[in-house]
Amino acid sequence: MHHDFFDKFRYIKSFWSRIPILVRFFIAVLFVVYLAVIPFGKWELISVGFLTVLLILFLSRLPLKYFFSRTIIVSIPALMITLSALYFKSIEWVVFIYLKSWFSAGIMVILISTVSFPLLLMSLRKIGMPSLLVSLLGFVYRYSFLLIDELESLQRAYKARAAGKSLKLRRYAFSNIIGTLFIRSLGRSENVYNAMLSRGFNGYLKYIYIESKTK
Amino acid sequence: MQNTVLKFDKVSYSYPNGKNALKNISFSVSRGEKIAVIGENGAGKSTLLFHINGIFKSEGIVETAGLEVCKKNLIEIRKKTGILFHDPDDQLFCPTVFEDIAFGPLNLGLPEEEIRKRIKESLGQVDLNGFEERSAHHLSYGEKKRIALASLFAMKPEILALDEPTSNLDPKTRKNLISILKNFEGTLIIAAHDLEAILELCERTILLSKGEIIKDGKTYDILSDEKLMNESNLEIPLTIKLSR
Repeated sequence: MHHDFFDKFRYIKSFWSRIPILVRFFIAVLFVVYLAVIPFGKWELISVGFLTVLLILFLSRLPLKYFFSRTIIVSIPALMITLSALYFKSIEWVVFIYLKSWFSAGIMVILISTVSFPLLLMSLRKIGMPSLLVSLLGFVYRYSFLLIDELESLQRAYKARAAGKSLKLRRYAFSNIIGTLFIRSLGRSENVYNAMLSRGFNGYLKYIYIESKTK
Repeated sequence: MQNTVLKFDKVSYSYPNGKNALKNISFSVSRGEKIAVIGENGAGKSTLLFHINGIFKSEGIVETAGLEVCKKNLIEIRKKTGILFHDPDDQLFCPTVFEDIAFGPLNLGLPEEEIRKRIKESLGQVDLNGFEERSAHHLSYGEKKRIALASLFAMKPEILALDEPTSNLDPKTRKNLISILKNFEGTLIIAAHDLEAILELCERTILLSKGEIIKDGKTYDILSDEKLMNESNLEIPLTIKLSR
């Protein structure tokens, strides 16, 4: 399978893509910090955040449909959490906090979609981010695609044999798919660890930098 | 230099569920020999390969590259052996091809310049120059197999053990892979169902059935033995059938 879930628009040429990766990374992190420290009720500062996201979105030339669909999906957990606070907080507070998380998700979606993820990881190593953390992100990047592949093949197998639309049967099939996916993931992790051992892995991840020809 | 590079002496192995996977396996392999391990599904081919570098531990003695497979020798043994997994996605676990190939040489403690040289060389060996920055999920299955092989070549192993190297490959990629393996100068052990490829690559074959060695001999003699092949749920390769 050829997936591009993370860095789909890494080849887009734009003002944003001409900025070095590390600078883009720091802009994104600083922006998230800025949003995090805005005190409740300062709507003018949230508006500045909104305009900043729009400006960077414009400079990155990321398709609007892609941007909004991704940010909405990414910010769903934040929405659930903030909505649960409705019992003891006002609607205004919920909207304020959700907007903060939505704009944070927005800047991160722009960052990740417009840069080659492996190069982003390399940049993180260069600025001294712990090797283990970067390697974990690398594994997540690599294996999320495989997990999606496995899920898609299980779904295809289900659809190929699914007759009728009984909700009960669908629920049953869905729970089986999740269970199978879990077992396959366990098997995969064991095989990957064996492959690492076979190539001399002794518990310490080592690294050298690729001399990149692309940005 | 010692001529025997791999030795199995009365090796038996059972899976955690109690199923016997290998029973009293004994054989030895000389340096530079190219041998095949064949047998029906579940015969124990892959299990046998995983004993070579100590991924599976069992009763009996396994000696690889002159060292007994035990905890204290594992690092040294793994420097000298390369195992190609059946599914290349198990073997390519880094975000880029460059990092995947560098993984083994880095663990060998080689200097950076040497690692870069080996990455370039090994990509050249599998005819995938310029793939350094690619991610494994953007590669075809055949390319993944070749990159997995390159990741082993970069370690310059004495012994290469391959689990189903030609499975799921299109004819052209399969042919390329066979030609790459023909050029490998070290010891080669292939577990596979592709008997045509084995006929082309290996002069010696070990036939396994239900974890036991049924026959160990010349590849052509075993693969052309109709009775033996039928009993082992295998089929005589077309090349042999046509030559009769």
